[in-house]
Amino acid sequence: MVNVVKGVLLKCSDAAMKQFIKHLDETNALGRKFILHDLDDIHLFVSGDVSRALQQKLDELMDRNSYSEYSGDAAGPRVRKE
Amino acid sequence: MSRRQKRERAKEYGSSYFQPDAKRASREGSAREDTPAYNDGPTTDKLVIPNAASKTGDSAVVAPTDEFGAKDYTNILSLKLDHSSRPIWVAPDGHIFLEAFSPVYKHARDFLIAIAEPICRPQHIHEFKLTAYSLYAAVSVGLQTNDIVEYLKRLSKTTIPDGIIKFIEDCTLSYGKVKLVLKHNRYYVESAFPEVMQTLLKDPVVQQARLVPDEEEKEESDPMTSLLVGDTTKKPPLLFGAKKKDQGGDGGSQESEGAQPSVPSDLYDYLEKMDMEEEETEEEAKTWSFEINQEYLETLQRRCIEMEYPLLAEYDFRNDTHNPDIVIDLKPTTILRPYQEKSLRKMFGNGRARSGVIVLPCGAGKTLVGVTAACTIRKRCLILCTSAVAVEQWRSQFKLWSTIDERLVCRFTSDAKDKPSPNTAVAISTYAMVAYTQKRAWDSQQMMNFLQQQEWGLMILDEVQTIPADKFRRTLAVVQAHTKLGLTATLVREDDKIQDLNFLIGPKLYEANWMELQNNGFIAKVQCAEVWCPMTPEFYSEYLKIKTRRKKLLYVMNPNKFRACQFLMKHHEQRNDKIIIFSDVVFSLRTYAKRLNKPFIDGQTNQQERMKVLQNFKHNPLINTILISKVGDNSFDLPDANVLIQISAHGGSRRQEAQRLGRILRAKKDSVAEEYNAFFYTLVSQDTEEMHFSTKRQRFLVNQGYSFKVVSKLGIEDEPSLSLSTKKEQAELLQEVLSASDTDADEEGTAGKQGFVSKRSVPISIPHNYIVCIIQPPWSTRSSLHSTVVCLEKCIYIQRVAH
Repeated sequence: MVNVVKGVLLKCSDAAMKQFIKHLDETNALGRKFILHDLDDIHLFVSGDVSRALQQKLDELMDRNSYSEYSGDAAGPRVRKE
Repeated sequence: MSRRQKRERAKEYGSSYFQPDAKRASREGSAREDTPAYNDGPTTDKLVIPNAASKTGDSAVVAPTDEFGAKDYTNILSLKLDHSSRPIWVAPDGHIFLEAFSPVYKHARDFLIAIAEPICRPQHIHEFKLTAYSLYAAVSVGLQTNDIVEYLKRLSKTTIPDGIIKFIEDCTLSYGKVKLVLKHNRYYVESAFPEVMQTLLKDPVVQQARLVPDEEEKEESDPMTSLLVGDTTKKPPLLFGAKKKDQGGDGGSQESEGAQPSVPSDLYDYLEKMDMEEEETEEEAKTWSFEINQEYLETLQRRCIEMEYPLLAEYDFRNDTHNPDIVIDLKPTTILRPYQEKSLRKMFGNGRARSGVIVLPCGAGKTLVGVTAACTIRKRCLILCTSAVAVEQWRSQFKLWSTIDERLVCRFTSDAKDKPSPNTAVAISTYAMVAYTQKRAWDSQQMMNFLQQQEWGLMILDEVQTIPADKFRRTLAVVQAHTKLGLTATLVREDDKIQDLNFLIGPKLYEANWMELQNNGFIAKVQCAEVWCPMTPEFYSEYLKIKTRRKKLLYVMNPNKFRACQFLMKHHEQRNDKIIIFSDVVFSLRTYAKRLNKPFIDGQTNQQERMKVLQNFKHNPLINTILISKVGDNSFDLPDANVLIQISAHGGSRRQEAQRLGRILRAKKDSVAEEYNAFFYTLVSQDTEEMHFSTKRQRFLVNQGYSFKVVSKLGIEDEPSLSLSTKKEQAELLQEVLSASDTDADEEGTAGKQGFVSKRSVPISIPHNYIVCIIQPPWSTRSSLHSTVVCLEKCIYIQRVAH
């Protein structure tokens, strides 16, 4: 019996970001585990359907850590979409 | 208000200089909230002060707004034909925009500074805002309603909105008509306008505050019993210091004279008139006055503001025969800088002394302004500052600049108590000492009695922005002073209590422009940089897990930050710079100090040790780096330091950022203004809340015209000479951090002070592997008006997850 799981290779910009993704996985932030395999310092193999949710979580993190005078504490314009 | 802001506010209180321990801090905090007078401060203001924003807001709403928030006033304002030669725009919401490149910039600036609050002053366009308080200040320095409106009209490129004119009239017509005078240790309300006096006397609150129960109010002769004949003398303008060294104003030198022809002549005519008026506004016939009960002083002041007749505190020191003159003069060698003189002229504009606040950057010579004020008034002078170190500094500055006999200077701190004598001319103490409410030792009680019995000619309040209002009230309640002069570099607080100063002390008399002082070499030219340090995976993983205060330790102790700090330190040590490393968290301060093998000073370092470290730092060529906790935020003067590395800071406090920058601002004697001669680095751990705080902290300095260079990558990953390069070392450090307790992550709650100067002007060379990028301040949506921001290279803030 062969189990086929569709997945995505995730390359993180730095090792700290990978820790953040792992933290999301451990705390079930997306409602379930999604990391299929931990490859190395900056690469992860994750379920194929979570990339959008991850993107969103990262945006949230960025918003939280930036400051904007006009929108108060939360969202800042500093987040860049790619 | 978000939770974070609240937390920040709480922290701000916790750190105030008068709270040596947490327990006390919390008690103070709650007490402050209970004080009703304190709480109704802002409400009262809202009720009675015609607020520019609210009043003129209606017309602003009409203006269509584009998607970026820019307002279109084309239908409301019409452009004058010769608009290109006029320097300002006046928006219906009270904001005024000044072209800094205009030929009449210098004059317009002086005028705007007098009537409006500076909001943001970058290179090309300066933004001001008209507020009730700023107009109040304008009146108190002698400007008249008509002059303000007329001059504003002439300067403006467009017609002035009616709302603004109305606002100016509302705010200024009634101002300046009533004066609060202290004579023979009693307070009197004085006015030259009988009708105003009548109105005041009919008010129940005022009646209550009035001391002498008079017969009955009738016509103007009898109820206004004390009919004082005001002096009609014209007083010559005061001269400060021995010589006037005219360098053409504090920012003047860069102005080119050639541009004048394009200026409409009506502007210049008016300018001259304005300048004249500033000097003498002394016409007087009769004044009426009544005495008031001191206990009701503050109520009365508030009430008068409510009735739109704010009390102007003035002191006619030349005609005060009750208090003995003291023998004090500036030394002949003392030379005031143009901006210092200008600020003092605002204070002594009509031959009398006005109370108020003077705002000058750190290192720009606030102390000399204070000393000169004391030498001008020549009455007993009381100086209150934030720490014992500052007390010593004031004392030595008095010796340095003035001819005062050393024996007449009296210190009153917990360590040094000079015995007061009847001849004491200058007393220097701390806020904490004077506001102390517990039982005192015998000798300090004696001293307090002395302070209370005197009628002080001048009270100087150093670092006035740090004073929590209730402490300050107590100080004012126990000490009588004719004139109160507040000195500060940063008139901002994270709470809104700064407005309280307006009625506790007086209006803001003068505020200097940092960039101009910098360009003229009065303060050091500082390169500000924010250095981003990536978190190591191990530290970041723990950072995400920990929910308590210890979180902070993880981003402060981030090994990459340590390495960045070490790298910068080495780099600058090679240039023979003097470096100060700041950390609010004592745990990290000590760890850094140990690992870098450098001396440090924190709240627990005793006075002798401190002095030893500081002396070594100043004179020993082998000690080029010291680490200081936040005891060093604002007093002690370290004139040699020119590099500042900040590894942890107090939340989003703008004041702290500015005060710290102040440590390296003192100008070098041979400074060349074209090149940077001081460096201010803030090390920030990427992807943590520190990023948020860092941006927030920078707002004040950005508004002063500073730009922060963001160094997103130092490129020191493989630098073998730096420590903590191996995973093993980093893991050890992590263990150390994890074993620390929550309290280790707290900042210490004490204070002291310092200040400095830069040394050499060698430009920093940027290694090729830096990625340097100047980012636009993210909070600025008015970007088109701000200085042009150039992106040298695209900076990658975070690389998103790629497939």
